[in-house]
Order: sequence, then structure tokens, then C-alpha cells
Amino acid sequence: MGAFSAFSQTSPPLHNIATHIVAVEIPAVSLVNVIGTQNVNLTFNNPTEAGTGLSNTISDSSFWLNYSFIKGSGTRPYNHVYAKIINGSVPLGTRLSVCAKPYQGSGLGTFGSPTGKVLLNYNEARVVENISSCFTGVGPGNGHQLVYQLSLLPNTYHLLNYEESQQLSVLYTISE
Amino acid sequence: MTKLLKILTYLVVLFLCTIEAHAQGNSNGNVNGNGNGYAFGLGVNIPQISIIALRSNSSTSISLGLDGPAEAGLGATNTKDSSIWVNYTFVKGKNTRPKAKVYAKISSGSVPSGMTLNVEAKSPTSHGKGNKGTSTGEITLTSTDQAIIENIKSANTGKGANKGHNLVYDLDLSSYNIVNYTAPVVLTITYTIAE
Repeated sequence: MGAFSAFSQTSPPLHNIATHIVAVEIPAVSLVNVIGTQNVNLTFNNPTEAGTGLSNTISDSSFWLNYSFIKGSGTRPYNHVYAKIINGSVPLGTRLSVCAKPYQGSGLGTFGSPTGKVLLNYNEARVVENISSCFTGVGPGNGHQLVYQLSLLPNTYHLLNYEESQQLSVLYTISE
Repeated sequence: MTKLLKILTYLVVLFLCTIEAHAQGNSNGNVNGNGNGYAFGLGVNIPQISIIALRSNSSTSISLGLDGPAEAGLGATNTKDSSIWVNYTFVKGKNTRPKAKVYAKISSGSVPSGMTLNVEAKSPTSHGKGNKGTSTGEITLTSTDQAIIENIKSANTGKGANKGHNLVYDLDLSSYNIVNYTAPVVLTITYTIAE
């Protein structure tokens, strides 16, 4: 028979599958920052009447602690935030403390727990502990509000010296 | 002009006569069984086609996760990608495979703990022809095939990036507290067009 086909029947193509690569990358992250609108200036209130003393305490709550952390399951399950003075010194007769408030904000994950009020000096003091993978959100209103407090030490009023006003630098570190 | 037309007509008739003579001389088969007929069959076949490809303006290998270093307080900053496009060509069989779907799965690798990898095929662009498929919406990728595009009938999407269905990947880190840092995890995503 002289029949022919204009097109021959083809086998089903084998190209019904396509692949591509998606790489998921989660690096180790440990970042901390202190966010505020301006430098803190803690000044005891002046007495208004002769015979009265300086106010016992003065505080400031304008700074917020922001951090981001990614844990390693076997290598570093938690991190903590430490604070210490790296420049200047607290005037004689006074003490400077900082207290981190509980977390609030728009972040995600397992945030750290505040350790309460800690005195600031040249040794690292743990301010927030047991941080797991999380991020606090950025800026005031996110993270832990920091409450600085300058107090008069008991029985040391005689050591107060207005020429000892100081500019202090406080360093925050996030680490194991 | 009339003369030229006449000449051309003669030439065409002569050519057809030649073909007929050739067909008669070489045909042993016939349609009436008397051995001196001829058949001049014309088969027109439409091939069965199911072809799919992934295309991009650059590489089809993509990376999602955390861009480092980020600002303190920030979380994952690289969780979405929409650079990949699905192109396909499909010819249906009315009775045997009236429609096709595009399926997606993770064919190698595992999504790290604390996150899911989601993908959505957007509506097709206006390129190509035919009845292109519709999106099934966002799916969470697993190692099992799931339909991501459905109701594809005979159609082609056009070839290349920015044609067909745009794939939107979304790495969801909603269980952030259990996310661990890790070396890059390489996943292979397989797309299949089938009934």
C-alpha cells in the first residue's frame, strides 16, 4: 500500500521533569545594640531648702537593648548579654546600676530573661540571660528597656565631690 | 498575461499527471482489491507532549535564609525569591489525559528544623497559547509530589524567564526559637508535569 504519514508518531518526550537547587543558609549570629535618642545624663536633684540633701536616686529609662542570636544546637544553645564600664568611673559616694525590663516588641523567638538590677563597674555583669534563637526587633520599644539608676551610697555623703562628675562608657556584649 | 497563465496551467496539469503515473506504477496495494488501484494515504498525527522547564534571567540555583551580618534586632532578611519561572508545553488526549498538573517536591535534602519552605505558582503570563493551568496556591514543600498548577489542557507558556508561571518561594521561620545555625543546606526541588 502506498500510504504514508505526513508526520510520524513520536514517543512521549522524557522531558516532563525539571529540577533546580534551593540552598538554605543560616549563619551564626550574635549581635547586640543599645538604642536611645541621646546620651543619658544622670544628675541628682538639687535640694531646694537649706538643710536637706541630694535626692537618693535618679534614674533614666530611655535606652533599649536590641539583639539577634542564632544558636547552634550542640555548640552554643544559649547566649547572655553582659554590661561593664569601659571608660570613666562612678563618682565616690555613688553607685550606678542598670536593670533590663522583660522583653517587649515585634521580634520572634525565645528571648532572654532579665537578671534584675546589677551594679555597673569594670567587671562584666550579666544583664539578660538564656537567650535562644531570636531577634528582638529594632529601635526603641523593641527588646529590653534599660533602667539606669544612680544612687547615693549609705554613709558616704561626705565623699561627694561635684568636681567628680564623669562621662562613662558602658559596653554591652552578647556571648556565652 | 493571459498567455502566461495558460502556460502555467499546462505546467501544473503536466506535473500532476506525472505524480499520478508515478503513484500507479509503484502501488501494489489497492482499495478495491482488484490489484490495479492505488492508495494515497495522508496520516496527520499530533504528538503526545509533556515538557516542562525552569528558567531564570540568571541561575536557577537560589539561596534563602539569613543574610549576614544583619543589624542587631533583625531576623531573617532573605526569605523570599521570585526569580524562577515555569515553562511548559502540553498536548492533551481527550479521553486518555484530558488535563495535566505540575507537581513539586523536595527530591533531595531536608529543610532545617524550625522552618518550612513554601512555594506558590502565580497565574500564567499572556505568552504562549492554549489553556494554561491555574495555581493551586501556596504549598509547603515536602518529599512528596503536590500539585502546584492544575487544569492544564493543550497549551504552551512561551519559553524563557518572565513567561509562564512565576514561582514565589517563601522560607517561613515561624519556629524561630528552634532555628540553629548550620552550613548551607542544599535542596533539590523537582517539578513534574503529568496527569
